[in-house]
Amino acid sequence: MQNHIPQPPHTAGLGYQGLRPRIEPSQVPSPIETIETDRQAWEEKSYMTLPGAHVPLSTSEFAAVDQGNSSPRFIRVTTWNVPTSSRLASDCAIPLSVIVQPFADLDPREEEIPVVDFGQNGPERCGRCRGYVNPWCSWVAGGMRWRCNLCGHETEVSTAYFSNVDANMLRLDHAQRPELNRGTVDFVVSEEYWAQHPPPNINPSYFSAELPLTGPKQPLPMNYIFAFDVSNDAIERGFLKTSCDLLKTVLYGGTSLDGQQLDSSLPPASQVTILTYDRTLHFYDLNSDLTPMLVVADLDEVFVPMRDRLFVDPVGRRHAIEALLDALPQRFAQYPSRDSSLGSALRGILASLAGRGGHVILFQSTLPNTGLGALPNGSVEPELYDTDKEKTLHKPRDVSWLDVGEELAGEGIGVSMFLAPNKYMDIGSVGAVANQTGGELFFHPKFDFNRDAVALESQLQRVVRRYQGYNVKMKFRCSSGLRITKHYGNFVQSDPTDLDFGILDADKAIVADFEHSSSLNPREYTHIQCATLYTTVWGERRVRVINLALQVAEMAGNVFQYADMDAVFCRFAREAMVNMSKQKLSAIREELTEKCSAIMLGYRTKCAAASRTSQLIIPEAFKAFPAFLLGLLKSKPLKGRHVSSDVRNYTAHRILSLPPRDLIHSMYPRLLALHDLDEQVALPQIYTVDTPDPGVEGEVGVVHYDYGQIQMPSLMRNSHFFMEVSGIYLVDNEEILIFWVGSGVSPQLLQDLFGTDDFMSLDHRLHYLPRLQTTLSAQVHNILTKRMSSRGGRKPKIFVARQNHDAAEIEFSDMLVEDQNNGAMSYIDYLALIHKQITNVLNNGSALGGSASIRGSPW
Amino acid sequence: MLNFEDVEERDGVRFSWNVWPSSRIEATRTVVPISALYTPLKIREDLPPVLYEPVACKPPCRAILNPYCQIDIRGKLWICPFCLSRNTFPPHYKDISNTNLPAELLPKYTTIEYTLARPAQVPPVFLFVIDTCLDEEDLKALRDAIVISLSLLPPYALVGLITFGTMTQVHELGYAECTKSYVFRGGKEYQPKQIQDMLGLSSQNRAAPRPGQPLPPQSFGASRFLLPVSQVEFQLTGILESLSRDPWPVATDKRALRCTGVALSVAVGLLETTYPNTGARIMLFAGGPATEGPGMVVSNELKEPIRSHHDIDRDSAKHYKRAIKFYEALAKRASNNGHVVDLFAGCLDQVGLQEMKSLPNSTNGAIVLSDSFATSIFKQSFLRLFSKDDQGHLQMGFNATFDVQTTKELKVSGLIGHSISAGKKHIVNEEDVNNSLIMIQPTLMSYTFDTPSQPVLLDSVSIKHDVILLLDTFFHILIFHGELIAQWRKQGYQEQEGYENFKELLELPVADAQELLVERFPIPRYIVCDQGGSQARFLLSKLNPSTTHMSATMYGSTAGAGAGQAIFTDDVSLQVFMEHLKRLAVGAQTN
Repeated sequence: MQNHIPQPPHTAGLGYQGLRPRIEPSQVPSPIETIETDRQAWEEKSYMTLPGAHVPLSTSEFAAVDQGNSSPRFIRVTTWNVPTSSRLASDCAIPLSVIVQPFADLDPREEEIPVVDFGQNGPERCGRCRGYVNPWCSWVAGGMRWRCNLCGHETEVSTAYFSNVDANMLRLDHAQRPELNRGTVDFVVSEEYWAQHPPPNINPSYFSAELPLTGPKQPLPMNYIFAFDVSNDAIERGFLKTSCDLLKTVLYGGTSLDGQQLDSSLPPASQVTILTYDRTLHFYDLNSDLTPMLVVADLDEVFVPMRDRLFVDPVGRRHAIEALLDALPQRFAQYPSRDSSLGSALRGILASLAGRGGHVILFQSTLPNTGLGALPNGSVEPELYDTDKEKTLHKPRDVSWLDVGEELAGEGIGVSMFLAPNKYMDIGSVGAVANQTGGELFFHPKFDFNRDAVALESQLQRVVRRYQGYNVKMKFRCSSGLRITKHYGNFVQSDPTDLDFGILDADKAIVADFEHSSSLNPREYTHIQCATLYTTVWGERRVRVINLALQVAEMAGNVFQYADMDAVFCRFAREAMVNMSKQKLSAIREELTEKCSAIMLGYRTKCAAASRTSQLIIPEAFKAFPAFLLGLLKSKPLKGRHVSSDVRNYTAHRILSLPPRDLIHSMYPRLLALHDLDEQVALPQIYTVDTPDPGVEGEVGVVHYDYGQIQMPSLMRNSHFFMEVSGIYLVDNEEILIFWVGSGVSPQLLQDLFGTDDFMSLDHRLHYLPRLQTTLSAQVHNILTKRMSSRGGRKPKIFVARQNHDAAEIEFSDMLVEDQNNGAMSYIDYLALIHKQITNVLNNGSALGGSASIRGSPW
Repeated sequence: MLNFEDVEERDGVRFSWNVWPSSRIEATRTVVPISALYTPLKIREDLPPVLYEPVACKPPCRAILNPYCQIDIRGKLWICPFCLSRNTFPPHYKDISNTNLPAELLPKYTTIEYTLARPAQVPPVFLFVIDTCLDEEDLKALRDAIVISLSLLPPYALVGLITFGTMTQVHELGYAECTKSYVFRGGKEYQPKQIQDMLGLSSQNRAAPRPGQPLPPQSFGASRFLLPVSQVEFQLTGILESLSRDPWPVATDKRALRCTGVALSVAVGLLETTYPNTGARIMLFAGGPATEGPGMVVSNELKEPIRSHHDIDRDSAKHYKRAIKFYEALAKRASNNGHVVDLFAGCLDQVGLQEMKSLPNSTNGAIVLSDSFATSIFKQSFLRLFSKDDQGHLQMGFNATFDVQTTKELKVSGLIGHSISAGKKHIVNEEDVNNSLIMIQPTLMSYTFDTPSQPVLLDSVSIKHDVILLLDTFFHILIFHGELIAQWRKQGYQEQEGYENFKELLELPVADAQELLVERFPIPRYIVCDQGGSQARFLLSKLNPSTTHMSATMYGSTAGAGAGQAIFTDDVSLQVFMEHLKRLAVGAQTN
């Protein structure tokens, strides 16, 4: 590279200590190369899900054909060849985990998930392990019994489900039975599967005028509570007004902020209510035309002032709801309160939705400084940084936040929060509620309408529109010889095997560790089944069953060859986030590096023992792994130097729920060079088709634009080293997009993209990309649209950073994780460190991380 | 010495003894304690307008100049008859002489009313406390009555609204943006301080105004909840009209949850903070007994019957003592602040008046019991409270301190043998002697042919088949047709020619009854019945059972027709009672 640009001086990082090996930057393993190769490989062909083949990376767009094995879209394993014994597993140092995303969006080319209704009997289940019938079961005794693929138990086939078997011991009705042909199936289930009302609390957290309900809970269409913090901070920055306005679009459709037509996005038959709170809680009787406001000022013993009238049909009461949403911002503007009683509001929400379950979407701007779980103001962050007490910043300061979260989850209530604080608001405490209930956090610090509103709207739309279920219970089962040990994600774990979620949606993934209880037979498949019991938004109780058969490997080579880097990375990231509340950040960072080194070391000792010690050997499947891991070390929750605990905790919440694809894109942001886009790229392919009707005179063909097959440009590596001053670059970490404009950019390029030809007059407060009649503009817009659709419609915030001019450049350079920044090393130095750790073990025979010399290093 | 009835007519005061015993010992021998029955706000048409401040004795006596004071015209001095201290007349009394005396010194004005020039500091406050656990019909009637009452209030009077059912709602009438109310849980006993904090009446937790914004006075405590009726009539009417039945579901085996106790404590707490020591009325409209929270009379389980007199006597009423204690504490707080609590009950069953009686009793409030708010008894009694004098002022005194003091002094003793219902007892405390006597011993008028109507003995012998009786028990006015009269009436003789005298006979008691009805508060229940009819029990229960089923002769034949109707009762007759009394009196003397 001739004209690369140096790193800007403001990105403080760490240098490598000691003798640095000479490595040419372009020679080190490129994570982009791995991603791009795999992406191109799956562009043309479909992935067949039977075990044995290489699985597409999560970053590739693929279409899977379900052959009785679940698609990697729903389930990924850290290695698709499970080691036969625990000995082999520990030699390989690859953690054994599955990552499931039960409600993942399908690719448009894929077939819908079949829905199977067995009526009152419910689906066939194993008599011993309660596993669900699936394509991997076998039929014995002439079809009278079926043998469970998980535990081997033989269960009588119920009379209603009986079918004769043919000579191959396949049921005669096999072809008509989706549950015997597809790896991912939805079962409609009966009253037996209804959630139970939780037992009454000895120490009730709210008071009700009614007796607590007991017994099974009738599934209902999803109920929504929209809750607004109406304190001063919410009003001042216009957050309250914006969120009220956007909610109207959610409920009744309309024109979005960037000009799209939206229809109403609430599921039909849903009921809603609106709650506001500052120093007191305000309920609204939307059934009455006066829409009376009922104030509950008893913050310590919260109750609901009404129950049956609280929830209304949003369509039938449109007038009242719209009038209220219009009035709210002004109503509280006159005498705003500085206090917020979120903790008590959550109890009010719990009391309102108890016995129903549902989704709470709340908009909060202030530290909850009054009511239950009131948090003292004034963060002590700087004093705690890098001390043993640092971990206290990453868990709730008041235990009541965990308690209310658990209680909400138990009632089948999910809490999603849109947070727009002006100052410290203790997301470590507040966010715990979203963590526990399966809700999601959205973070818009120092809310600015121009910058944040479009992103906020797209998030709000996504929250309501995505596939989701509530009152969710999840359970993993696996073949005998394996057992599930630990789970990572946002949920409440009521017992060692069951996970409870208030709600679970398409964008959430859960990680489960498993281990050997005995050796596996390498000639048989081993199985994992994940059952998710949930209530759909239209009020139907269902179980989504995900079945996976895996090959068993006796050779370490196979384990490594079929290892899944994305899954391993996701698993490591989850564990690191969970450890934040237990360990110092520096210790977590060290551990991550050691785990990475351990994998490399395991490969070297088991598969490449003959190579020279001076050579760093990275297994093919883990080629991009060190770069991703470096991205994780430089991420907001883990990076060194000062990051406010709110930002750390918010990002940690995200990482704890993100599926692998989104996680990788967040940790290793996608960087594009916009100035040298190919002519063809990112434009619809134009082709002509002869008209089928020859009668039409003069018309030879019709021009077709094929938007489905837009060719996406290749990404580039995240380093200034590969950039030029005359370029325009676009970096995207799923949350923000930054257009970096080099100081030597050509005016024509600026004109084509931004509509101005002067570098200096380019508005750095531009938070949208103008639509221009130029090829470049069309290309970039197409790229953004494509990415938006793969994100389920979410739109990132847009910034412009002119080289050496704009503040956003700091964020931009922090996102280039291969450079030396974020208090950490550059990619090359990091590889050198890993190499040093491995060589140290090989030469000195010590354990990884055991030697004081490495511990003592900045890592 | 004037006739004591004249004194009562003039001054509204009547003593048990009109001669003062000369010594303490003699006083103890009178047996009947010396006491006065006083109606302080008795309406007097003949009083002169006195438009100046009263002249008072020096502190601490502060007695007011009156006709019994010795005056020295020349020295411009007067001697207080209570403390005997000498006081000089104020300068503007310099022109008085024996022929030119101010009204308060004239012997005929032993009662006088000063109209003070200084305006009342605080307008009267009316806080309506409304039960919403009512049938739609009842609730509508109640709503309508209250809406009408608003128009009867002076425009400057302050009004507030509290509604209750399962929970208590305090309506913030001063909130212009929408209908807003503060909700209190029915099952919780709130401390006065909590109520104050939750309503935002304490000053410290008020949000600072945003810079550059003036703080309008409207945002403060009292003026958020209690506003001049002229200002909030529209809004209040709107709220009342949209007031619907308590929305919480009631199971078939349950009573509706009704937190009367919390509602009252919030009402007392609100007034106590906002308008201490000023004239204020809490008007409670209860459609049933309190079934929730403090002051609960009966639980909401229908399987638990409401306590009876019997339970109270045997001390087995479950919630009784706690409720009494709760309401007494409330009553004390209210009366300390000079606030009146009125009780209006619209319920066929009991409403727990026995527990709540301390509220109106020690605050001089009114009690009106009716079967339903849809009855005219309720409507007319309620509206009568707001009746005005000819100058358009409410005939209602708001000198709260005086009310309280006098009421405390007012103890009517010796009403033993009367209905133990708390409501009636209370009215005895308020009414003058004649009316009180009527309550204890009802009057019975007999109408028959050829003789003018005459009072007859309140005795079963008065029941004859050819008379019409008019019974006035204060609470009931009953017209009773003897068997024969009823028969004639049914046959329609009164419509026929030649029987005009019968028609007149029928109409006469009705006219008399109307006369009585007009004057009375609360409006009595008006009953017309025939001998042998079910409603006749109201009459029979009041009569002296000189002839009972027991007084039948040994041979089974009833007493003669002239002896009146037999009453089925085990109570002894007056004659037996008197015999017994005589024997006791004689016995006592011989001892």
